[in-house]
Amino acid sequence: MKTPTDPSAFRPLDSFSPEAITLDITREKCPMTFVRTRLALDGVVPGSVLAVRLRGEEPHKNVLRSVLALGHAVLSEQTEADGSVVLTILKKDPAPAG
Amino acid sequence: MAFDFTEDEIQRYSRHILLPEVGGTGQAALKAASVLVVGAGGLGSPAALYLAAAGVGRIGLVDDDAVELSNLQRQILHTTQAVGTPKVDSARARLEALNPDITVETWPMRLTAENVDALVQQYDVVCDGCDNFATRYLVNAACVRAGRPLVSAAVQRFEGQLSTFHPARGGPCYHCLYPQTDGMAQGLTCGEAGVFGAVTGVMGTLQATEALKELLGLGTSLAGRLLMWDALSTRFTTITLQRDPTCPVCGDMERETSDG
Amino acid sequence: MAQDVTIFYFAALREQMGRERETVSLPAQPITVESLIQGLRQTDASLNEVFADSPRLRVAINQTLATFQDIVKPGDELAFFPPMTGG
Repeated sequence: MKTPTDPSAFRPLDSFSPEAITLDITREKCPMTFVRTRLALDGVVPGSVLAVRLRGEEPHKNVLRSVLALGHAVLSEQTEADGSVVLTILKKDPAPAG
Repeated sequence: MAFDFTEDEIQRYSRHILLPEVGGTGQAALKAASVLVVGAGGLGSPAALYLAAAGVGRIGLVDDDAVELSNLQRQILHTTQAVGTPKVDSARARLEALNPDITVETWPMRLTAENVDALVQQYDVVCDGCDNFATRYLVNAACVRAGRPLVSAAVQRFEGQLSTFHPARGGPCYHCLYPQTDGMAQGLTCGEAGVFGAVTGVMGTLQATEALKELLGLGTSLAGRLLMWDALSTRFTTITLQRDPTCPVCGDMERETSDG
Repeated sequence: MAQDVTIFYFAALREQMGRERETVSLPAQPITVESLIQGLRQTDASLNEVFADSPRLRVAINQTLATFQDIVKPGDELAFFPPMTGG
C-alpha cells in the first residue's frame, strides 16, 4: 500500500533556512493541485520561495486564490513557452491556527 | 519540516490538507498523535472510526466485553459475524480495514486504580465513552494526574452529554461537575436502559471532533462547558462550568493558567 | 410575572417529571434553589420523587453551573440535569 512520495515532486527540504524549491503540478487535477502546493508550503520555513508549475485556467485561478487566502504572497506569474504557468510564491508566517 | 507522507497518505488525507486550519502541518501532528478510547461501544465506535479515518497515528482501545447481538443496533464498529468475539479485536479489524496506516492498540481489560495511570500516560488525549461511573472517575483522576485532556461523552435514551476536562489548562475536571453519582447506575430500571442508536453516533462523532480539536489546537475547546443534546426536541444546550476549588481530584493541582 | 422563574428538566428528570419545562413563582423574599425545590416538593409528587435523588443532580442558573445553595432571582432560568454514563 505504501508508496513513497515521488521524489521529483519534493526536493529535500532544509527547515532551517529559507530556500527556493520547485513543484510541478501540471499533471494534477483539482483539488490535488492545491493539496500538493499546500504540502510544499507547509514543508518550508517562512521566507522560502516556492515555484509552482501548473497548467490550465482552472488550476491557475484556484491555486492562486488559495495561496493568497492563506496569506502568502505571489511574487510573479510567468507563462512559459509550453503554455504552462509558473507561480512564484513567497511563504509568509503562518496564520494562527483556528 | 519536510513531511514523510506516502503518496497514499497524501491522497487519503487530501481533504484535511486542503483545510487552512489543518494542512500538512496539522495532518503530520495527527499522525504523530495518540488517543485512548475507553469503551468500544456506542460512543467508542464512531469516535474510534473518525479518529482512525482522520489519521490519528496511534489509537488505544480499552474494553473487556465481547460483542453481543444487542450491541449492533448502535455499536457500528462491530459486525454480525463478530458476535461472541472480544470487542477490541472486532474493533481493531474494522479500524485497520479503514486505515492500514495507523496503529491500533488493544487493551482487553477492565480499568482499575492499579492499571489506569500507566495506560493514560501513553496517550495524548483520552476519550471516555464507557458505561459506568466507577470507570469515569478512575479515568478522570488519571487524566488529571497525567495532565491529559479528557473528552467525556455519555448517552441515555434520546439524550447525550459531552465535555472536555483539562484542569491543567484551567477549568473543571469530571469530578467538579459530578461529585456524586453513587447509586445512579443502579437507579436505572431495565426499561430505562434503552438508547436510541443514532444518538450514540452523534455524541461519539462530536467526541471525536473535540478530541481532534484538542490535538490540533483548533477553534475553542469545549473545556469549561457541558454540551447537552436532546434528540427528541432537536435542542443543544450549553452550560458553563466552573472548577470546584475544593475538588478532591483537581483542587490542589498546579495549573498553567488561573482561569476557571 | 416579574417574580417568575423558568425551570428546565433534562434527561431522566424530564421523563420522570413528564414535562421538560415549567414556570414557577418566587416568594417575595430571597430564596435558594434548595428552598425553592423543597417548597415545590410539597405540592408535586413527581417532583418530590425526582429530587429525592438531589445530591446527584446538578443545577445551572442562566446556563451556568450553580449550587443548590445559590439564590434564585426573578427571571432566572434554572436547569436541572443528572449525570449519565451510557456509552
